Parts: sequence; C-alpha cells; structure tokens
Amino acid sequence: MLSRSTWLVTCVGAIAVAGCSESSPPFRLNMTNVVAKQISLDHQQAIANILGGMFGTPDEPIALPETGLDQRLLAMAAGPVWSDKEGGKHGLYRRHCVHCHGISGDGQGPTAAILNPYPRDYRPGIFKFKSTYTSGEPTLGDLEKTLHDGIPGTAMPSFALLPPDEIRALVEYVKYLSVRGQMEAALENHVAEELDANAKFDPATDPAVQQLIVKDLLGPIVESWNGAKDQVIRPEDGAIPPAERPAGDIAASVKAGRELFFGPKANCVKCHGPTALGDGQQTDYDTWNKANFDFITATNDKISQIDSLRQDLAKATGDEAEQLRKQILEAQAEYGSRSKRIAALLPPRNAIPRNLREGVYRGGRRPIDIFWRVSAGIPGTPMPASGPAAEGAPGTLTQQEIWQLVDYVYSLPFEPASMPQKKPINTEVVSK
Amino acid sequence: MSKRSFGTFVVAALATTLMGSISAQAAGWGSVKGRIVVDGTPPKVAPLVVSKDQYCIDKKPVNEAIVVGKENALVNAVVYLRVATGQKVQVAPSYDAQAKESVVLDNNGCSFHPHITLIRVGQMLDIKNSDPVGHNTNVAVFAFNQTIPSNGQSQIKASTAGALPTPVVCNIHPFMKGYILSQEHPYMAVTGDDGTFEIKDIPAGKHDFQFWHEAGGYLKNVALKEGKTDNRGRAALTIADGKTLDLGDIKVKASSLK
Repeated sequence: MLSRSTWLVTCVGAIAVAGCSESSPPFRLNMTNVVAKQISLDHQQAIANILGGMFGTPDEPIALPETGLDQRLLAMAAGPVWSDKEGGKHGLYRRHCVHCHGISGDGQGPTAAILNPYPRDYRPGIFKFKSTYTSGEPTLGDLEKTLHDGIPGTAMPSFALLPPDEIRALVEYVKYLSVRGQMEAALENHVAEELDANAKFDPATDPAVQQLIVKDLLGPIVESWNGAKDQVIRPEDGAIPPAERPAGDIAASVKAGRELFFGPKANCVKCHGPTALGDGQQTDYDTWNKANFDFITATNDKISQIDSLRQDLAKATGDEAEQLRKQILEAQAEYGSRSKRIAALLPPRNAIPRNLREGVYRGGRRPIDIFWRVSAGIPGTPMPASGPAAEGAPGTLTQQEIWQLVDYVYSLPFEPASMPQKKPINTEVVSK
Repeated sequence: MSKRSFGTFVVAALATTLMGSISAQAAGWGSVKGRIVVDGTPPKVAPLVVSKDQYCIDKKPVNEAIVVGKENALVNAVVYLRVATGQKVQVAPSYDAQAKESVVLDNNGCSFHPHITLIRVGQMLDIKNSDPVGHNTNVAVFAFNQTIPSNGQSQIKASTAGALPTPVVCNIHPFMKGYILSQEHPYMAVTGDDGTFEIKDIPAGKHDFQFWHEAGGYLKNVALKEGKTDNRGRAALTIADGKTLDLGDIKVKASSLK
C-alpha cells in the first residue's frame, strides 16, 4: 500500500491529461469542465499528476487508504483483458463495460453515440436507481442489483451470469471511477475558484496543499459514499401492502393512486402526461445532458458578448480602449476553444418522462423499486421526490399514498386508454 | 496502516484549526455598504415563455435575469465575503439568533421569492408553495428535488456551501428560475430595488469580497473607490472596527451583463 508521501510523486512527469504509461489507455480529464473553467495547461498537468498519484492508472489503480476502496477488487476489474491458465478472468471492466462507459467512466465509450439513452457518466457520482434518499450515494447493493438485472428498456444488459465476486469487483471499480471523477471535479473547481493563474498546485512540496486535498476535497466525497448504508429509505411495516390482497382492496388502492396521479399534490400528470404515455413535459434535460446543453448555450452567448464589447470599444479611448481590446481577444480565444470542444460532445438529448403504459421499469419491477422511485425521485433527472429528503424530514406524500401510486403504476399497462381521463385540478396544459 | 495514517492526519488538521482560530480573533467589527448601478443601457432580457397552467399565465411572471430599478440601480447582484477552502471567518455574536432561524423560499405567482436566497450552512430552508398549482423545487446544491403541493411546505437543512450562487428550478414550470447561495458564514447580501447592499458586523481586517450577478457572472474589472475587482469579480477590502466602509456607487458596465 502506498503511503501518502509517495502517492503524490508517482506520476510526476506524465504528460498532461494522460496517465503514467505510454502504451496503455490513459484516464482523460473532463475537457468540457476544463474548457468551461479555462484551466491553464500547467494546472491541467497539476490536476492529472494529483489524480495519478491518488488513483493510479487504468492498468494499475490505487486504492488510497482514505478512500476506503478495496485494492484486491480493483485489481480484478482493472487492466487489459486476459485469462490465466486456470481460466481466471482478468480486466473485467475492459471485458464488459468499457465499450459503452469508456476508460475514464465518462460514458463516452465507442458505442455511446449510437445508444439512447447514452451510457451513464459515473464521474459526477450520481446514480438514478438506488434505495437511498435523494441526496445519498447508492449502496453497493444498489449497484450490484443494477449489474445483476441490467436496466430494462436500455442497452445495459444483465450480468447475472457472472460469478458474484466478479460483479462485486466491477461495482468496486464503478465506485472507484465515481470517486475519482468527483475528486477531479473538486480539484478543477478549486483551481478555477481559488488559485491564481500562475500559482503552484503541488502537494508533493506543500503539506498545506496535501491536507487541503485529502481533508477538504476528498473527505466529503468519501463520507458521502460511506454514509450511503445509513441513508436507505425503509418502508414502515404497517404501510407495506401485503403480497396477497383481496381484489377489492387493490381496486380501492389503485383508485386512490389515480386521484393522486392527476391531483396537484403528487402532480405526476404534469410530466407523464394525462394518458401516462410520458408525453407531458418533454423539453427538460437530465443533469448529464444539461451540462452539455449549458456549455453550448454559454458558448453561443459569447458571440453577443463580443459584439457588445466591440460597441464599447467604438466609443472608448486610451487605456479603456486598450483594456477592451484585450478583453475581446480573450473572449474570442475562449469562444474558439469552446467551439472545438462542442464538436466532441454527444448532442444533448431531452429527458423524456417514462411511458408508464409499457410496463418496463428501468430501476426494477419489484414494488419496493417503484416505491423508492416515487419516494426519492430519480436523482439527476427532473423526476422529483414525493417522500422526505432525509430521515425525519417532511415528505409531500405519506408512505401509504406512495404505495397507492405504486399500485396505480402497476395497473396502468392494463388501464384502457379510452378510460375517461380525470379532469385535472389546475393542471391543464395550455398551448401558447 | 490505513487507520493510523488517517489518525495522524486528523491530529495535524486539528492543530492547524486551533492555531487558525486564535489568529482569527476579531479586533472588533465593521460593515461594508454600497450601491450597484448599471453604466450604460442595460441589455433587454427575453420574455419568459409561460405555456403551462392558466394560473401561471395569468400571473405573468417576468424574466428576472436582469432587473434594473430607478436610476439604473442593479437589483439582485450578490456581494459576499469569500473564505478560502479550509479557512474560517469569525462570526459576530449579533448573528447568533439568525443562525437558528429558518430561511423561507416561496413558490408564489409561479416564480421564486426571493429570487436569490441566501442561507448559512446549518440553517433550515423552508420551501413553501403559495400557489393553487403544484410545483417541484429543485435545489441542486443540496441535491434536493421534491414536489411541493399547493399550500404545502417542505424543509431541508443547508448541508453544504457553494462557491457561487447556483440555480433553483421547478421542472414542472421550466420558466421558473431562482438562485441560492449557501455559505459557512452570514456575510452575504443581495442588492435591493435601489441597488444598495450592506453587510454588518464583519471582523475587522482585510477580507476578499465576491461580486456576482446572474447575467454577468463574476462582476470583473469593476472600479471601486480603491482599485477594482479582479478577473473573478473579487476585491480585497479592509474593514475597520466600528466603521462602515462605504463603497458609494459601483458602476457595472452594461456590456458585462450578457
């Protein structure tokens, strides 16, 4: 295991945005973020060095003690694909995941552009299908379930045929890529918000920088992952509907759930639409696509910024004119680097609410899965929580009401589309 | 081994914190105030496209990305003390009561009130809905997104600080947009309808202040009485015990609000 003093220097000298080795695929920096925050080449190099020291390379990952990651499991998942004489499989991530999720876990593997939805980018550490409160990280069990069952309705297959220890190793590696990605974002934010353009950022020579990285930047990320198991939303015993119920009870529950679906309290109709075909609000974005959409919008805004600076320049003289010329050149350079980056982005796609009449449930089809979706919402998407935001916080719906919605959701694929729609209260969709 | 290395690290961290708090002992308290105005003709903002819920359409919510008051006063600019990561600033006892109060964010007339919410880490954020239509309030900085029914209310604890104000949105009504700034300390202000702001009881000494606006982002290269803001919209200001530093009129170029 590496001690802290060595992790900081292992990668010094590596070229910017690349790992230590020249022949194997490197981790890449999040260039959208780097360009948006105008991080200098020197600082990109510093960030790559720090990440290399803390997390190693795709061939030789490091489980830094402070992250709580498991070195043995990471070694199973990392590196090139090969099999040993006994038939043991190595390089599991590159065998099963990399073609969609990419070496850096950025969701931009070679197949990403032809998939809809795009593969998940692990780097923000946000996961949709989990058992925890909205703000919590998923438990390892949540991630294991996603690997085991796959995500119905998407390109994500089931890996149920893999032995449990291989699934466990892959989950550890996904967590590793997330923690690494979250750390990268924290470093980039720190550099952009707090460092002067020429300031050194080298933990190997400055203990204060080392402490800042481990305590202030890495600390909260690790804490959030470690706390996930205490964030699980547990249904109250009394509220869980029994598996075997009289038909009348189910019908009553479905009816109550339907009222909630159309009513202003749960407001499901707004996005899922009056027929639940997912045809309500269709112009929104999830957090991953929104990042790209905002980047493109801000780039286009630069054009009008440059225009108005030019108008100022026409009226200005002396020092002020000189300063404006400098600002125009800077803005033009930024526009140029942003435009180049846009060419490499996956085109942003809208988040389309689920068509609930298909009976395909991405996060799992058990009642508890639907319960968690309604209670905590779907993090990273526009889907809001209807239950509490944390243990003891006020929820919008009671657990009983959430179970009624679960029953209604289950009934929707069988509800005749011609069934008269309830007139929504103050929720009419008005065309402009 | 991993346990030990982390333990050593925590001890070292504690020692620095203690030293930090001793040297940060305030030698009195002072204030800063000023008025932010737009220099030139402020750019026009696009009208909001309100196509959902007759109630919202009737309420005619306006685009608050740039709001200019009388005499070109720039409304909703944000001024706050900036503390570097890992550092702390001493908070005056006069803020003790405020720390226990909750901050209210109301969905009213299909728009967020206040437009920019200021909150201290640890304070409770009460999210209300005074409208007859349902909303959801999505506060990304706290990873909070919950449906708020008509006349309903929810609550969340401000769990983390953000370097800059971040958006608050309603996904049901995409034209609704607000901002929230969360800091470890109470030294922040939003300019009012007359463009003025005041931050009271700041520890005497030199501090970095951030100037920010929704449309302008960092308010950079803005001339102050002494010097100007840097390329991140920041300036180091010296606060004197018992005195109010009056920055007077701070002129923000209209072209920087795009």
